[in-house]
Amino acid sequence: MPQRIILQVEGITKIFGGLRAVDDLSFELFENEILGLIGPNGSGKTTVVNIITGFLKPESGHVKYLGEDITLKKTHEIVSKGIVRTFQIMRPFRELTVLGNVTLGTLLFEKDVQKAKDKAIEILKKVKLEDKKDVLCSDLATPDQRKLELAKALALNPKVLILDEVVAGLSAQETSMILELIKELRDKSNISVVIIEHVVKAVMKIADRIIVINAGKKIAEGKPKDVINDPTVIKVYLGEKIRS
Amino acid sequence: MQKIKIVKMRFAYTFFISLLLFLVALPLVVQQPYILHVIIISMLLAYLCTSWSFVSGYARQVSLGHSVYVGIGAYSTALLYYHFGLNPILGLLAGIVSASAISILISVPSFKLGLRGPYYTFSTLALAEFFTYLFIGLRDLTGGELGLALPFKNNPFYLQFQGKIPYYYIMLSLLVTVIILANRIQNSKFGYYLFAIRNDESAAEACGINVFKTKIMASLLSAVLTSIGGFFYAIYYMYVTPESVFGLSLSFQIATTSLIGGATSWIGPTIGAIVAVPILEVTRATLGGKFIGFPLLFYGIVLVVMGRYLPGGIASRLFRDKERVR
Repeated sequence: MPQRIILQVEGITKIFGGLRAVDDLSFELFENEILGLIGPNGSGKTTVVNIITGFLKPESGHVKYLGEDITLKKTHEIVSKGIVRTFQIMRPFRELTVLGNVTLGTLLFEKDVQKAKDKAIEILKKVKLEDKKDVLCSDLATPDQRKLELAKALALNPKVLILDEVVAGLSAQETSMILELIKELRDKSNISVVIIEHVVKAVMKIADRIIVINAGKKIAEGKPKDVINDPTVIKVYLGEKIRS
Repeated sequence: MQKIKIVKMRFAYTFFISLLLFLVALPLVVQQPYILHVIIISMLLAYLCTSWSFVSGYARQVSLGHSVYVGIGAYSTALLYYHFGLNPILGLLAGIVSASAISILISVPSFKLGLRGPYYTFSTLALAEFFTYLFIGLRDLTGGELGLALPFKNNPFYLQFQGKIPYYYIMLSLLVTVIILANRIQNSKFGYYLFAIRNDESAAEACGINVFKTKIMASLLSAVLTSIGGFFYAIYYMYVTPESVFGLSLSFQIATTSLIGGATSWIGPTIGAIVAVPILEVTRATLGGKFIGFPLLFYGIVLVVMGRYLPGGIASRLFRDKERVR
């Protein structure tokens, strides 16, 4: 079934000093799809996220959202359109409680603070963080901070959700809880997801399609099963065959 | 835990209402001009500090040049009255317009260029110094360092009154207005956004917040309110000099007093002024001219102690907000 392209990345290149962090990279994200983006450390994954969300401007190439060029748009404009990210290095607002943090997200489409808080509590229930709603973010342990990052992103009512290492540091149980949640969101709320991970197994489980990048270049693309058997991928990234 | 925090919030409201009733009733009992004067200048400082906190506390864009807006408000009022005999209300309007213009002129380029932290602070400081010397230099217009003494005509339409009490109530209503505004802002979307910016500007952008616009709005609001404080200074003292209204010492006093009280709380700056002004006044009255540097020493010591034990200011300990720490 041919699907509508929701996000299109066309030949983006980003150079830091002498390093081509992202090198002529192109890919597309279909509506209602979960796309895995994997690659070894320093392969440019987070840079791609930064370019899509307007934190960085590429040297060349374009990012298109539903056909509209958003490459040079500001981050807050991109977020308002529905492209929302989480941060690999968690960035909660430290002086706010968990509820305060998520409320900041829900306020984007809700002027009334009380209503925004109610919406925020709904989201906290989804990620099972409701019991910690009055905890200060600087007092939160890593797994809960990961969940908070996700809750903050969901609060912004995303159409495209970009998850940068959202399960890193979580236990197996918590990981599957979050992955289930992401799947459920995709099924129920018609969200498209880009999931960037080190934990390849995690991505394998839920991604419909996987793109592998190395040194800023796309080296493989396809169904999870095909990608892990691709010899180039095994060589640069996995080192050995993964038994699945 | 939660129960304690809610009690604290209620305590803040109780404190504010008792303070308000006390200040409204006080002139009925106490009529000594000196005491009224001390309270008026405490209220003025509380007003200026609260106005400052919108941009420098909530959003942590620390300005050490807020005397610019006090000076603009005061001089707009003074100059139009002195040279053209215009009503101070017109001076107030002129002050608001000029303060807005200056605020835009300084904040748009600084925030566009992404000046953060100390860089922004120093640019505001330089602006205040520039205006001090500009107004000293424009001798024919401003009377230079000696300033302008405004002729007193005892005309209530020109907001000139016998005695302190009318000024007292004007200042009190200004202060109450700004405190209520601070409270409303703190519990609004705008307040939340400022708080996000204070914590992490990039993460705030990622929350869909237009950081640039929000910062400009906060500066503008803060500048306008501060210039109204300057207007009050002019009609109350009837005497302005560049040093007294534009000078750095006023800028520092506004910043330090807010920090002592708690610059992210709607009631914090007021508490700071309540604590600071009477202590300074009493020491000045008792020590006389013996220790001229005492106020600075006092602020220095208090800031060091606060920085170590109470970095969020007095209000952060007394009344903690439910969703926020400081």
